[in-house]
Amino acid sequence: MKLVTMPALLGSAALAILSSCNSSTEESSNQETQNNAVLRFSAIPDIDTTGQTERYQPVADYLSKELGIKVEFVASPTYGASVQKFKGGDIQLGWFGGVTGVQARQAVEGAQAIVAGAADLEFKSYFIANTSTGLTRSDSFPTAIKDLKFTYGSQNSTSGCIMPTHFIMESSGKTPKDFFTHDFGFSGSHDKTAELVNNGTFQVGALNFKTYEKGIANGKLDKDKCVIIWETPTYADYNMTAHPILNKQFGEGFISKLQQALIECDDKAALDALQREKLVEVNNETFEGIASVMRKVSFSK
Amino acid sequence: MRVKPPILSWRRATVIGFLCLLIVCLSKLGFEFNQLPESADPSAAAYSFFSAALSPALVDQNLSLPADSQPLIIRLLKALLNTLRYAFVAMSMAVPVGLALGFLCSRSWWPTTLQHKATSIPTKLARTTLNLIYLSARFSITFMRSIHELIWVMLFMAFLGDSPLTACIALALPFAGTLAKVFSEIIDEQSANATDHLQLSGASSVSAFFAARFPQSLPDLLTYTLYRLECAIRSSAVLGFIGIETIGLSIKQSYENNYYNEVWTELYLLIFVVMLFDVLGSKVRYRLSTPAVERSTPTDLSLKSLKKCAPSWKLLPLTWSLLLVGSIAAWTLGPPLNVYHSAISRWDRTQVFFEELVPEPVRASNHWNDALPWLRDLWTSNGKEALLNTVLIASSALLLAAVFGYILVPWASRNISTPTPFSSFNGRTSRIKKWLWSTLGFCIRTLFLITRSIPEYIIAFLLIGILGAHAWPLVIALAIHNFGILGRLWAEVSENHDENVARQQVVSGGSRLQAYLCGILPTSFNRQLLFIFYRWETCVRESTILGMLSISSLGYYISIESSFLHYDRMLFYILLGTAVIFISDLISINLRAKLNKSGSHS
Amino acid sequence: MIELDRSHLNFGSTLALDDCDLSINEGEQVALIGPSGSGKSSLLRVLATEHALVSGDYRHNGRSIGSLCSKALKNQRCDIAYIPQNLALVSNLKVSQNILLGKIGRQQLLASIKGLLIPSSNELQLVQKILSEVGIPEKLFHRTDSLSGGQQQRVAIARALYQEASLILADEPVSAVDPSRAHSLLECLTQMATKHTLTLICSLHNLEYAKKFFPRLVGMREGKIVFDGKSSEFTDQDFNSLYQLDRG
Repeated sequence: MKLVTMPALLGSAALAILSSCNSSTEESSNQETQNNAVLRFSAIPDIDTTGQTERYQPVADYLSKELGIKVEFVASPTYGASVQKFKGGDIQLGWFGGVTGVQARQAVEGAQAIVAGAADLEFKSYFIANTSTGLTRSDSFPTAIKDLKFTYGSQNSTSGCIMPTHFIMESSGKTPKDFFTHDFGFSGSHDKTAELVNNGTFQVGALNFKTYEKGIANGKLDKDKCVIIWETPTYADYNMTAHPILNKQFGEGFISKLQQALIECDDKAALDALQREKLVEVNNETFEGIASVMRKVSFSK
Repeated sequence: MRVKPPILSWRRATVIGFLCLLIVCLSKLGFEFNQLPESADPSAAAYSFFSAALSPALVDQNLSLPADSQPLIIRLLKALLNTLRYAFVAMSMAVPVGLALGFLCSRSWWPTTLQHKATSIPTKLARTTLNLIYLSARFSITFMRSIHELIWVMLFMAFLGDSPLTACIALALPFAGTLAKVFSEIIDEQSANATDHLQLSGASSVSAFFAARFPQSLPDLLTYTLYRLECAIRSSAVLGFIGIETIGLSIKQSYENNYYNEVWTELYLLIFVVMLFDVLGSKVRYRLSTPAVERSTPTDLSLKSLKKCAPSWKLLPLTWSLLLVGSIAAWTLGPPLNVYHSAISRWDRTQVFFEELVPEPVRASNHWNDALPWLRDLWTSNGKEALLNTVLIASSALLLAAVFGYILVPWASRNISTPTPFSSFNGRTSRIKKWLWSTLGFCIRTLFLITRSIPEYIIAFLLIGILGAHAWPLVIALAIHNFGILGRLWAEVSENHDENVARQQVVSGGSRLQAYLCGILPTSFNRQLLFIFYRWETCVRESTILGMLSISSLGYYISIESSFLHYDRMLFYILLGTAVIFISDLISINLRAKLNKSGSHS
Repeated sequence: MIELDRSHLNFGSTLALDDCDLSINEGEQVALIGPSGSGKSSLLRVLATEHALVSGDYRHNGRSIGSLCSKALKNQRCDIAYIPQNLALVSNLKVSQNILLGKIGRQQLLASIKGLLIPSSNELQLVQKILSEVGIPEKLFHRTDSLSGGQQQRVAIARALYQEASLILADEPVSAVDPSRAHSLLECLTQMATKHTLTLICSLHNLEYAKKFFPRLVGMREGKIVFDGKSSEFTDQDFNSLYQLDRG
């Protein structure tokens, strides 16, 4: 009990400081909720993370224009942070991956997945290998990677961690800690995974198929150094999830309005910012598959 | 009469003990510096990273940004300003709290009648009360200190929202703890002559404290505060790695996108600012400990002209006013610090958060007995190993830093690395030789300065990309940073050391190094050792959070559990780290007392 | 043989030695006397090679110290044992270790460290012998700072003897001890010097002792040598002009 009371005391002290030094703004922000509340949204930092705020600005502009409210983008440094912010209501709309989306909806009762990119329902990961390993593309799961140095992307990434783990567990019946004979790494992002496999720091890696294809296209990855050895079956991945508090802040039915605005979006700049052609309607059931995978996936021995 | 000296003195035992510990640690870590596959070419990876150092980016390397976005340099300068701002805000909260707690943690203001064992009941009661205050203050500063600012931020962000003020409070908390600890030590170490005298002439113990002991310790307090400000800038930069918009966030993002040239621009900016404060700190320290020279001779003996010509340093008031203006500006200028956008109130979030800190089985069954198997499971599955790894990484890094630092320290001291060691004549030397001696000292001091100005977290982050993910990059990063810090502290010890003995040894034919080893080292050994203990505690804190870079120290599990929102498990790993700090604090208090005793008396 | 020719030394604007000429033969025992601040310590420091002269020449056994390179200087220094006023003992080392440090100039780095940490029994025997000569053999393995002031003086003398130099310079060796101990210390110092035929130069405040123990006196005032002669020839008038009592 003592263990909890100490941080509790310190926490409430901090809370007191916060509320006392800015109590006036807090009061006014309560009044603000009706007239000029801000819709804050964030995105998982999957690719191209420098200048995130700049990149997502068109989405904010589009929503602001369509819905007639103030919309603001908030950068998140890690996947976990974006979920944490969603949970606390610091952001009310999130552009999540499959896994982070499920986490967000588990953390906040009543949160709804509202839209996804048209192609996101058929998402897949690539297992890529440095050519020095001698591995080539195969149609079945490449069991040989168990003795090689392997890296995931971020711990909470769907295509860079959870789904690859799911397929490893499915085909080998072992958790990654038991399957791999070496320690595996978490590179932190898809781009980093690609680079580390390309330069041989790791021999094998799993990543978002888009990052790999983009890397080959813009010459950052060398086809002769880093090749696809396996393509996973498809699964639903990216989605936008709305916080139920939106309906309270902006009036009943706001979430449906938001969903509608996103589905009907044909603003090129906004879609480019999300790197999607079109957004389609989804609901929580669309991601039931991922949710069940997450219940099974385990990293411990 | 025996002529065999006793072989093992405690000092030798300590050195041998340290070396054994180093060997044990290193053999546990293994000697594969890069545990990379054969396909890897670490030299190429290192080359592509380090060659970018020569051409830091001035424009965005990311070409897919919208055309109207802010240019890179403006974004980075903003991030740098934020870094400074948060450091100033945090320090301006930490210093008053640190002073108050430091006062409570010192015993020297206690009435003399209460400082020793009491006999009468009222004094006993008073003594017990004071002791209670003292102990609880000690406990809270150790607790504040034992959790790294990065973890405090993670905890606070979970329920106080993502406003910058949250980060500043989280940063201020461990800093207040450290300040309080060092403040109380500085205060207690002052000579008691003046306070005793005041009390003999009728002053109360508290007023004697404020009239004599406090002013006596003020120069040291100010010097240390400036040093902590420099640390706060480094820490505030590192906060970027968990999403506060400081320069660390830019470094992380640029590196993850492989924009190495941008990384170097950011590193240069950060190093420049930290070095600026470091150099300022050493200038101020010199002026605080040295009396100023008279500016001009007063024309007459009127108060006014005497006051005008009174010797004083110009830099000191300038620094204080700059710091004051800086703190005020940090609070008032720029975007508001305390922004809270969530429609869920902080109070509700706090309640939910603390409920989630309760172990999962207890939440389900409401029986605290159920927590035991849960704890045991966590401890055996990952906790034990992570704790050992944390301590292992910290110890090997510190000892490595100490070994290398020890070798270089004599050459960094201004009184040794000069053509006239310990200000004694040293034969005729050529101009080149003289120049070489002074340059050698300057170069090593600069090496110390650069290595300590880059936060260890950032070094580790960059090294992992080159050497692969295992414990060595962390050890090396921690060692590099501590090498710079120990180097400076030790060089200062030998610079401030009494020169007489060493000079006599030079005059009787000893070389510089002989005079250092035989004349300075024996008497400064205890102080040097104390610094190692101080740093060990810091190293444990640091190696905990370095684990967040995906190496299995405590931080690894803390970050995983936090990202999966398992706050109860996260708290378990955090408290494991706290326990280590508490234990090491107890050890270091005891050792300090012992060393101080054996240092001054026989 | 020590020769000083027209020696000048100054620290910033303060003149420490002003045109000093001095010549001391081997085996001579000389006391330096004069009021505080007269330049006795500065002279001893110059003789100990701690400071180089600003102008003039200091020759030790015919070699001019100011023109030596650092290696040759090191060799000369081994031949000069200097006991500064503060004794310069390493407070938390044992007496034996402090005495062993006397030979620091004759040893290589590693040898000197080895000598400190694991001294050979030969070395220890020698140290023990010297320590009994100065009268405190029982303190061999005591920590130096546990000794009394007089005992520490003896340790410093023992260190100088252990150095096996031909010249011993002592700066106010009895300033910190009571008269009876001062007496026995000076007795010890001069006897040692006679026994080993060493040159001894010693600065003293107490004229009585200087006259009693030293055959030759050198009087200094404001950086100048104002008296140089046999102690038996030192008159009250010399005393007055040296300390300038007539001016009040």
